[in-house]
Amino acid sequence: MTVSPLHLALQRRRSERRLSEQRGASAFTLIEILVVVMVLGILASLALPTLAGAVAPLPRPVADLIENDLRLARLDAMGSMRETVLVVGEDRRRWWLQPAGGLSQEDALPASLRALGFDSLTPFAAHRLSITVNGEELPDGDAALVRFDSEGTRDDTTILLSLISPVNDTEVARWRIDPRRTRLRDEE
Amino acid sequence: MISAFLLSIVGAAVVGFLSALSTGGTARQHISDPTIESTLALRRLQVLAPDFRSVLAAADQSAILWTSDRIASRSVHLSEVALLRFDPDTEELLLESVTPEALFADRTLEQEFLIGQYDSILGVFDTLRLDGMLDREVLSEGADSIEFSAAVGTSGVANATFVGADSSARVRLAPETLEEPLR
Repeated sequence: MTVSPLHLALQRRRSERRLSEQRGASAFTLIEILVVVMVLGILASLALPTLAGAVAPLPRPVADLIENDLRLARLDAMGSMRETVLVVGEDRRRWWLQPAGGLSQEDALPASLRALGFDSLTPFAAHRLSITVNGEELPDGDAALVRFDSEGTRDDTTILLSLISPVNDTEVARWRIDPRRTRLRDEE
Repeated sequence: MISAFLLSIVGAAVVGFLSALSTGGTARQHISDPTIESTLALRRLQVLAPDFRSVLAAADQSAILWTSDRIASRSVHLSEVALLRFDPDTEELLLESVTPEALFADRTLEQEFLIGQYDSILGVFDTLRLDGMLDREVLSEGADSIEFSAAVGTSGVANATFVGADSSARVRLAPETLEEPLR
């Protein structure tokens, strides 16, 4: 049986059309591509600022730990019936609790020493605290920041704590402790 | 078009998650544990009012304590009373009492409250608070709310329920030696 050239040409055209249809079914149309690109653009514009903020360590663990230590100091003062102080180290990266009377880290209460860069504060290794008490900078050297009397009553000072990042000395968080309080409140 | 739609949904979820993470990190929420708050508050009350004799009244967000019988009469005088009050604005539990200076300056303040008159103590404290005549100690700073109620079946004793974000804790306000006013 012989196949005519016309028949062959028709067969070729039919298979080409089928191939072309298959190709068309698996491809994106221009409109779909444009929609996807547009959606990606919108998402990127929303997510990038958020991601940029998330790269820096969140300062919350620092505040939580200081607040926790202030309560421990209050408990210690009441339990031991003597004045207890929270001392901030000269480098402004350490703090500890100790009985009133001295400012030596050697007198720190057991397990009360904290330092930026250790334990839960590991992400803040190069950070430091900037502190003002009643509007004045804390004196150089180790300094008593907060005092609790034997009844657990805190002193009457207003304390502003700032967490300073090593990147351009940027202030990443600022908290206020009101007189007689132990709670750190976000300060604008 | 379906793929674009699905991509939008997934993308929106990712953005929502990141936004929540970011918001949670920058705006610091105070996380309180009612058990710790109530224990601290009770310990501090024991230190500040070690000899309190009974709870005269307890309801809603306040409780009235008879702290001593300084004017020996077995009745309640203003200088012998302390008010435990939860301030919802600051989320603090306060122990308030009249300043000795105010009582010294105006002896007529030292009024006697007989049994059945204890509710009027709240009004007197409201007035004194406005006049700045109250001493105030902070007993707790982290509870979302604190509710007081008289203990069922035991007069002179109250319960305090500390409520936090996810849990609550109840403590009993009971003096070491219960002693109630006689008149």
